Amino acid sequence: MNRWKPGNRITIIALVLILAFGGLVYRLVDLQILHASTYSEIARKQRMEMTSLIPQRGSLLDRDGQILAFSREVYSIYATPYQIKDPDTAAAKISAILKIPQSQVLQKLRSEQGFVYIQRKVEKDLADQVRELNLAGIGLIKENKRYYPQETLAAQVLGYVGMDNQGLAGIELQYEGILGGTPGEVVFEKDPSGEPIPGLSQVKTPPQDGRDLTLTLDMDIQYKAEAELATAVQASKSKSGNLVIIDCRKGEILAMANYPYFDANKFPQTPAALTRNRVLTDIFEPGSVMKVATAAAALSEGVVSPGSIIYIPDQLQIGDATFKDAHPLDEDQITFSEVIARSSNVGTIKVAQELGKDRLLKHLRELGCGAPTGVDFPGEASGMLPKSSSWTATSTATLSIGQGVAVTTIQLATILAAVANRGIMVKPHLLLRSTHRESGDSEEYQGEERRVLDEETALQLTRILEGVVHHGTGTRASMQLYNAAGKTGTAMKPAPQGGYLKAYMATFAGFAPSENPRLAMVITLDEPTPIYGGLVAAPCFSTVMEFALQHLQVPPSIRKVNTRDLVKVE
Amino acid sequence: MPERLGRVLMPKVTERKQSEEMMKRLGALPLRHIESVLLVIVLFLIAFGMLMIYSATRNDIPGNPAYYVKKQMVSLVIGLILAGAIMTFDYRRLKVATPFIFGAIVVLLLVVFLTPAQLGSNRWIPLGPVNLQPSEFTKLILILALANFFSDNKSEPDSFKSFIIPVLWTLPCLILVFLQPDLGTTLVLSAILLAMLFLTGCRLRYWLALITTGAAGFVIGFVFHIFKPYQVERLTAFISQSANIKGAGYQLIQSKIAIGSGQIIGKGFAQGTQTNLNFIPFHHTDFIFSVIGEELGLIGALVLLGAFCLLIWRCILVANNARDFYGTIVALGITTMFAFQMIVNIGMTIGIMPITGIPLPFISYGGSNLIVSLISIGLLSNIYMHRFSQL
Repeated sequence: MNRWKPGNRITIIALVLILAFGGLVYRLVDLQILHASTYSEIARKQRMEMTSLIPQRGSLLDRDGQILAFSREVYSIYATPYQIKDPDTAAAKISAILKIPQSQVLQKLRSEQGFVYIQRKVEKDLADQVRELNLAGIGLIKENKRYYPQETLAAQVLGYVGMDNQGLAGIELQYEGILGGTPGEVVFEKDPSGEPIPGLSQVKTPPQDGRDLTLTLDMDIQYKAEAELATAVQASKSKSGNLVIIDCRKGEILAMANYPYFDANKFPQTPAALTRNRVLTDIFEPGSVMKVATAAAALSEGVVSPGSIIYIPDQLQIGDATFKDAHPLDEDQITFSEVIARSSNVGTIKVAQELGKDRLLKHLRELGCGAPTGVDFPGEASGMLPKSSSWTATSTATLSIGQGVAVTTIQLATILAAVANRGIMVKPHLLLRSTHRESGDSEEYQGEERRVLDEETALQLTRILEGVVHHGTGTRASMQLYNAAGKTGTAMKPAPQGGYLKAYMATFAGFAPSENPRLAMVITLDEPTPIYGGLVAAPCFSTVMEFALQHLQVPPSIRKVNTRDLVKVE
Repeated sequence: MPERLGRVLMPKVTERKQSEEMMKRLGALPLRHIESVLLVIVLFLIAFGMLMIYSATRNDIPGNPAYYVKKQMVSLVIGLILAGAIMTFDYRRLKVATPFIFGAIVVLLLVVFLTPAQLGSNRWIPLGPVNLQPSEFTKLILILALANFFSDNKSEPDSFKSFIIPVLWTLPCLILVFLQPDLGTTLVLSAILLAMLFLTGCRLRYWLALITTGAAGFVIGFVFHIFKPYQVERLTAFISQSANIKGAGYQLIQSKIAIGSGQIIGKGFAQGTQTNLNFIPFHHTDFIFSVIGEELGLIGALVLLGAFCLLIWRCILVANNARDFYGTIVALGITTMFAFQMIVNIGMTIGIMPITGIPLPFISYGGSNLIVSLISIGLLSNIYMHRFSQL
């Protein structure tokens, strides 16, 4: 055997090859005939693409239709990294247009994900430039971006929307359901080149655009309020300040201002302390302003009348606490009206003790202390009214002068508005109506009201509060054209660990014109110098209230009671 | 016409005529005896491949649909020139040159490690606009080297010496290619060695021992993590086909979806949605058969398989008609190379073979592979042309 003949083994190899070929054919038949329909269906589903149609978010308008917030069409640029042939070149081109670091783009283009945003919400002209690059694996999505053209105006009230157009704070959050609309859905099948096949796309559900919201805010009054609040805060070197103006008949909030302010377009970059709407999120001990509520309770229970003479000792000993007046009075017998006008702690406490714990508590509850006003804004605080069981011997006394009880600015405003509105308390609100942009059909806000004081009491209290402005602690609140009623407050701030700080909250709460009240307003300043509400807060009330009334074309008071010419301001 | 038909059916050629015929054959230029069927099949396969590469890649480079086809055309021209060149001399002259070529390729296999890695492996030597892939050339050169040995040692094919020396020749190539890493080509080289040992009459117990050692090496590779995780994943993807939807499992599933959804008649040329929407990975290289299955259906796939059957049959014919043992062995080695690559490549796209990155000869995009395949065809033609030449 000097030459090997490969005959047999070639046959074996040939058989192996035939078997292998047979296996391939069998498998192809299995895939392409027996399971063809299964794979066809999977393939069809892979070609179907579902896209959501983004609804247009409703705009926010002031009561006169001025735009406070609107949504504009922008584009988000995304990448499908594995489709990108040359990430370095692509990153260089994109970063040149979008002005973002090339390394950052490159990192995203090299990521392992199937989808990655390169930049959200790019202006249309930049997006068009990116589109013209015609890069494989780079795409654009149409989106909405929220703009606040008035920038700082009412920024804490309007709130903001997140990247995905969901309201995350303020009115944007409160009325998300109405503003946001509902996204639609469209399903389309792609042809071999990836383009949607025209006839085969079907809109499953059309998007429902959000409704436009007309707010109760009046842009001019809001602007004036913010400007004057800023002046007041700066002049008094306060840490912060806030104010609210309510239409006392309808509960409509015409202005709601916070200082320091910020640009609503930069909400996410702004510290939370600035974006808070302190008018209704922050509680404070109101101090003497609370005497309005105490007086209301005492008058409606008939414990006193405005003319009742009250003996004022130099100091009052209750349990182990001693109460004094901030400024000792010259006389020792004054009317109840004067007790309020001059903000006598001793006088008020004597009346409150006459009234008793239960009746005082009942009326405070009635007036809304310790419960949210129900204003249409997220995150409202309910304030703090101690429970009956936790009252100490001095509670009646301290609560009657506004210490040991905490309220929000808006709670005080509703109480003042109720007094102004002859005893009827109206729920405050920011929404006036919502309107469907295309059909124009609109839905008005349905207000709620309830009587908290009888009319007689409210009128008596109004006269008393006129006196505060006429010759009491609030003379600086007087205006040129309108009679005003109000109450000053200067309260010690409670220390977190108990007891009180040597720091004060200064407040003025009032309404005007007092003979036919239209607007109620409360202004609160945090740690001003000087500390007195009558000195720092009342002037701001005067300026803003007068402006607002004139802006609303309210006729000047005819029978002048406490206008500036009748008032002696020290 | 009837006369010719009669001659075919009932040859009445006298012995004199036969010897005249033989004289004519021997006196004629070898080119007259060229294997035209083989060349027609090869040209058909290449044309088929070009069309499919165009279909698969026409959307890959925006504005340049023929980018890959043009590059492949360049390789085709180079390959045809080299194939033609190899037909100009008697193939037996290669026996002298083979040791030098073998040395050169080992050097090139070492050089790849000095070049920057591409796609995670040191597989290519960049030469200006093109990349040279030495591992592709290694396949053919190994065949020549082994054929050299076998034809010189045909007296005792079942000795241990004629078993171990081919193995030792193969090992350096095998190890260097495996380290690139290029598992696919490693497997092709192993298949060539095994087939050539088997066909040249290696003692079966040695042969089986070699297979066992190889299998044991694989097991050790798995256990001691010599294989890279993606290699293990790709090798095992076809066993548990629905286990990993991402990675290798994803490639396999997408390939099966494309082929299955092609059904019997296919979606039409350039109409494959799975291909064009980039669901199929490597759709112009390793997974080009998925594109064929999707766009041309079972019919197109069977036509291609038929063409490959014909190709392999003609290759075996060349081996059978070679005038010397060297020619037979070279032809059988080339046959093994084509058959193994074809079966493993198609098998992996339909989920009956592991995913190893072996190209489909003449069809897959890739210059080095096409050039080597064409040179191999040139060599086969050379062997066949010289079947009547004097020894």
